Amino acid sequence: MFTRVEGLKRVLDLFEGVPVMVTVGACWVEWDALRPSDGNFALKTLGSGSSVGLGVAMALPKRKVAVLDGDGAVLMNMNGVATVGQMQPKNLIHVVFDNKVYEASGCIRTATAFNADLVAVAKGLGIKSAHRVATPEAFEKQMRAAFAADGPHFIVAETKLSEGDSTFAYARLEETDNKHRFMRFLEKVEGRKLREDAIDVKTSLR
Amino acid sequence: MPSAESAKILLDALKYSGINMVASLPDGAMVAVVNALEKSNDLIHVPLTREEEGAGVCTGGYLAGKRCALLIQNAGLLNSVNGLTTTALQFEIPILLLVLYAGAYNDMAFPKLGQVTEPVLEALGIRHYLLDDLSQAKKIISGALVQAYNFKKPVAVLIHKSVL
Repeated sequence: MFTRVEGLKRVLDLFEGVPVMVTVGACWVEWDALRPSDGNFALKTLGSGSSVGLGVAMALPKRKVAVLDGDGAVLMNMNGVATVGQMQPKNLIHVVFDNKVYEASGCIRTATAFNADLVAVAKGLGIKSAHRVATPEAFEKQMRAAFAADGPHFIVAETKLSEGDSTFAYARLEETDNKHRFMRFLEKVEGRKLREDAIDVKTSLR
Repeated sequence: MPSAESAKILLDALKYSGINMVASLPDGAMVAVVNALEKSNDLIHVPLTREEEGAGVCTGGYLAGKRCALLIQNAGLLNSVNGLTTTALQFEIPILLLVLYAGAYNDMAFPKLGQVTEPVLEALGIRHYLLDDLSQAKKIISGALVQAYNFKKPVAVLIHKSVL
């Protein structure tokens, strides 16, 4: 077992120009410190990573899109994994840090601490590239493979709790600020306008 | 009106509005519309397995420049309330909600759903319009989308079964 930070530090180079949807809690705090970027989207609905990630991935099919998620979040929205299994977005990389607890809300155990196997779930829902890794080396190898090949990819990393208090306070990023920054990031890497401030009935309805 | 014809009118209204991504979960009354979405080359169709995902999918689509709609039944609207609240409303994401209005006037099915639908939308602060006349589809659907972008939040069109 390893920590999220130990794993992610080894693969930061892969994320150049990559939009990343990040689950709530310490995972966001760590990722935002490791890769400070307007391309980080701080999810607010537990489990929504696969869904928001799918929406971005379908809209930008040529760009790799990553989701950094947790076991509790995936368990809450396994429907999202089913829909990814149906749509088969080649560019989506869904990373699940499985520490077997609801870390952001007091470390009560999740179903993966008992009998749930998220790799088996993902495979059963049609995601062929679903893997479990338990060492930083294996994590790096699987991540590099995922960024180099068509997906969808689903990587479950067996991680331990990070040091310190996982419920610590952090600089609050206002949601609309996050949204605007994220859209500007996508516009920059895509080199085209994506944002519509308003729809003008006279000119933009077809 | 035969449902294939209704579906064409609704699809034309979506196309006129420039909607190019639709997430959906079917209701029996919407089969022709979902089939038409599946066949359409003008938009990305994402069939969901639970409606709340749609708040996330449409948010992702919007962030990446798509005009998004979520086509669901009102039972699914209730399933989606957290996603709509803590993603769509919190991030101020315009989404066109196309909601089949079970339990609406003159519909004997799902009376409890019919009773709570509008109060729930009002509690969420989501403006809603009733579509019970197909000749108004283009005006209401495009008008609701304009308002969603202006308000920077979802706006709902409640679709009466009689138009499908």
